Amino acid sequence: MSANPDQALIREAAHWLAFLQSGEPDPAREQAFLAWQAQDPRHAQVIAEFQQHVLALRQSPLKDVPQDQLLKTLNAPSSRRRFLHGSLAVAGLALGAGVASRLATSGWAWPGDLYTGIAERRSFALPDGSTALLNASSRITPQFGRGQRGVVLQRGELLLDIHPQPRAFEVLTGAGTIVARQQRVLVRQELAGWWVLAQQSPVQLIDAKGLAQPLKAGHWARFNAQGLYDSGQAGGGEGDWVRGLLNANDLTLAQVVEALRPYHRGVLRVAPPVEHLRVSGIFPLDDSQHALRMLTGILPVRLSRITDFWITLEPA
Amino acid sequence: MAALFAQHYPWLRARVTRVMGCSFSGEDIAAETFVRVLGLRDPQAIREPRALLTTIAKRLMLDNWRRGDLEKAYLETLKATPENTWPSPEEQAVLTEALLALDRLLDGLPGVGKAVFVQSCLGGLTYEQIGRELGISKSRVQQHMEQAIARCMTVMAP
Repeated sequence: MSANPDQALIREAAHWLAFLQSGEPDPAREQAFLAWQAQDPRHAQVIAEFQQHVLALRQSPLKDVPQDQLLKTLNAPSSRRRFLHGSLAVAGLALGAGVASRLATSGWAWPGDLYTGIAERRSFALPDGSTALLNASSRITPQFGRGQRGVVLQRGELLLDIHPQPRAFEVLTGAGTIVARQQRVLVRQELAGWWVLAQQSPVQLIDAKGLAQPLKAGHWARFNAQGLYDSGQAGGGEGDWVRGLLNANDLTLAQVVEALRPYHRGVLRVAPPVEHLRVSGIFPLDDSQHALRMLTGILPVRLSRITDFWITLEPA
Repeated sequence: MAALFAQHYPWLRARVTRVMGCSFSGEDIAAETFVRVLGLRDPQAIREPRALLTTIAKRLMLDNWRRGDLEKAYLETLKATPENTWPSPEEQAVLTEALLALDRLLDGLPGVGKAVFVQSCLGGLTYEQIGRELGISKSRVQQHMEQAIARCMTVMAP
């Protein structure tokens, strides 16, 4: 007889799965989840069972039924239950009406922030005439007015085309501020810190300690809370995501997967033994599954799928 | 097993027929109940056959009713779509079973909870997109999802 998962375990597992399902990558919490899963074999078992059920649903004929039809059908009152407790059906109807009336007033849930979803790129016009192009799964907070001109990069990657003005444009990150005057600047959050490229004009990086570092046009720098720790000359393919391409020029597999992640639904992992394999090539961002298959063609790796939501790149 | 069948089948058929109000479905459900008992890992170990038979038969009757509800509701939604896009009767039968399986997993959840689960798991939408669609905050979407997943896991548990 298999052990029934107890309610406490179910609640914990549901909490983690609900988080993983959000569609927003969060590497720190993914790590925390993996640690939780490793604590106890029952954790991994209950998660795997659920993922298999979801996979079965996604492969069932239900996937071809339009979702409004599906929900209308599922919400059909039960004839048996209607007969037994007539009042339940009425409560359900009242709830439905409440949701419908709130629907009309939504649309400003995240005042001010500009953001993109998974696999979505979008260009935003900023109030000062500059343009912000957000890579997938990215979010910025514009800061204009009261002597301010700039944005906070909350998550993801941003290509700025800065409209020249006497006041400098500032990009605030968690580990420093980038001060730019004009033209194109590329900024992205990475696992270990931030990366900035002064594409056409020089910029200045003011690190967390307040120290200013100049960055010449055509050069990139990496920095974190301890300051600038790496820099170099641009290779030319850094902004190719604008066209939906990942131009990998001798990157590690971990870096390539990091770039694919904002375009991929679900958990994407790289097994440690293959993390440092070197990769060169041009990969389609908008079809992450295709990009992953390409990787298995050029590297000694294979895709191990628990479900479509859960893919690990492993040694072949 | 044959002895079990001979001893309890007429009793079960009579009971189910009385509840269902139809001798055809009574016969069907009583027979299906025995098929399920045959599928149990150790049918010889059954101590209270009538209690077990009643539990399984009750389950099948509820499923039968619910299947009818879902089928009717689904056909109703089809009326709004062009006839040449309707699934064939065979496809519909397979679909109804899948609907019943999903309905069992989500039974007892509020309508919003079902909507969140379906849009996330089948539609692949992010919580932000679901929240926008349903007019609720992203954190409410996550709460509904958590509740729905816990519900599914409880139903899935053997």
